[in-house]
Amino acid sequence: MEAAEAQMLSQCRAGDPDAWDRLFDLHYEPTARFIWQVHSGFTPEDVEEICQETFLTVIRSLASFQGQSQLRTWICRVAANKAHDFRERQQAQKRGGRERILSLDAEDPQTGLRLDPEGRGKRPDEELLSREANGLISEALSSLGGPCQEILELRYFADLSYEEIAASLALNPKTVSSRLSKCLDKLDEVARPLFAGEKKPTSSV
Amino acid sequence: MSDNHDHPAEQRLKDYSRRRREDPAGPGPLHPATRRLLQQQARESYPPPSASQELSHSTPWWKAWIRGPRLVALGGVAVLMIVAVLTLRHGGAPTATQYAQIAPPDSPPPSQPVSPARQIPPAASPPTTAPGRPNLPVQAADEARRRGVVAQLDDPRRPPPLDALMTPPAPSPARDKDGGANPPSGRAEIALFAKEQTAPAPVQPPAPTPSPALSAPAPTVARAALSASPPSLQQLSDASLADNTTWNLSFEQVPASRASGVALDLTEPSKLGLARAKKSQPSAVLQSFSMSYQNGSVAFQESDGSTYRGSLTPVTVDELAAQQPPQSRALATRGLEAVQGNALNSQAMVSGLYRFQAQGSNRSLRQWVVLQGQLSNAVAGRSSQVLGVVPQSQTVNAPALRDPRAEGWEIQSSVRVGAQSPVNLNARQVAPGASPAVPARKP
Repeated sequence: MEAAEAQMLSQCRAGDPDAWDRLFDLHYEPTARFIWQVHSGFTPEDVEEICQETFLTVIRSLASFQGQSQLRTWICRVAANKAHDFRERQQAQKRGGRERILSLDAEDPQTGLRLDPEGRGKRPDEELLSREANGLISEALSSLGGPCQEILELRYFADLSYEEIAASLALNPKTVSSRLSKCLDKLDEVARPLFAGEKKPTSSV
Repeated sequence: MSDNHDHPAEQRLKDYSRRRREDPAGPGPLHPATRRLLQQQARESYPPPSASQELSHSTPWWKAWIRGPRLVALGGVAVLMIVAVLTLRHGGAPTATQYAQIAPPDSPPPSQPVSPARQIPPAASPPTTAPGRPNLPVQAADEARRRGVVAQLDDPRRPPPLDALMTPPAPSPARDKDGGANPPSGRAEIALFAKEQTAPAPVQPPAPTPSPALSAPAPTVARAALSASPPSLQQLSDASLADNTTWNLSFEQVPASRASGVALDLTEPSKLGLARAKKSQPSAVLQSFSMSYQNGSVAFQESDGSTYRGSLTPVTVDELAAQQPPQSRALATRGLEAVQGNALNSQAMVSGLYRFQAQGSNRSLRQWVVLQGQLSNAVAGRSSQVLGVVPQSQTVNAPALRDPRAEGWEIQSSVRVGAQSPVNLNARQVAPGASPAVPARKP
């Protein structure tokens, strides 16, 4: 951790509001961009919500931050965890919540027409765009999960170096390199059928 | 360390990341509302120094202590201590201030300015002894009488020396020839009373030393007899009480019913500034004591060695007349004028009463004793009665007149022991040479 960053953290712990403003200016937008890349299904509002939760946790847990890694690395790990939690909640809501129970056989009393409810899946154009643009990788990463997803996100979405990842995950840099290689192999194995229109069961490293 | 540039999954990840970052619908900058929310959370988790450290670190401990409720508690303790100290001062052992209020015998209390006419040099004339009063320097007595009257004329507010009014003038050749026939004047009446006195005592040059500390007399009527060193009535009854006057009387306490009022009916002692004392309880102190006067100070000494010191001043006729009803007062004034003529002011007349105030520590009880009262003599009371100052019904001095011991002095006073309520003290002079422990004699 750099001396300037350590001084800023000490000032934040001392309750200096200017130091907290500097911390937010330095790390909020990169963290939001990182969260935005974690999953292609996140909307800007989702990112805003996840980012708020991330920084609230950073504020509460800053006293326990030992400075063994850079602050950005620590914040990205917190943000990745918050993003995954958010994603799980979203999926849980899609499975059972936020859905109106409608009778498909009920006719409108005025028009006499039956309801045509919105389908769960994306519209065809969205599906196409998602597939074409970003959806497949994001979906493949989500299907990987675990340490592989985390180390790949830190490496390619947070743009952390091997040393930074090693410091953040308490690993040897060579271990980080080998683990990245294995995780890429796994991702390719998962993403290939997706790109081919097939599905394969997920596995973890 | 080499990156996995040749891995197809890596290329897909990089492309994906680039497209998300370039997406215009991406997240914006930090919103001010979000910043305020985070700052609020930071203030709660890490309070700024202005709010927390101001009292705990930068502020001295005593300031924080003062701001707290302990100041109220400390104030309450201080008030309680003050109340306790005041209570002990009034009801407990005597304090240094109380001791200091009593001047030692060798240092008389500050006296009022004395008229030069009343300052009589003690050795101005050779001591000439009058017949029947071997120790009485007649010339000094006459000088004192004359100067007392002159001073009375100079200062009508001050009472004249009683011996100047009650002592017969020095025998003149004309008087001897006439067989003592004198014109019927008030002064002559007083002189007749003075002739009845046989107290042989040296007359000291009178010098007034009224004590400013003496505030008021007690409801006391005293009757005295001469003791081992008996003072003459002229000596004792000198209203001005010269600085060089010295006498000593012995008293013993008598029941209130046996005490005889002589010259003053103190039915309303509050007029003289005294609190009414309990009449039913006898005084636990001053069962037998001696009363001495010297240099303007009076001292009461008990058998256990307890000494109460104070001052002694005469009671003027006007003070007596002020206690009488208006009719009696007018009668008294007319009587005064008839007797004395216009030469003497009624204020200057002497009633024959003396008020005293003394205080000291009782050695046996270890309590502070305050004594206020009156010393009176039957002869002085009769002089007032003759003058018409005090009506017959008010003087109530018949026992004193019937008492063959016309020299008897009596004391009526109130005694306050410690924080207790004041009680009455009635004492009568015992015979010269009698032991203070001798039981009281019936009048």
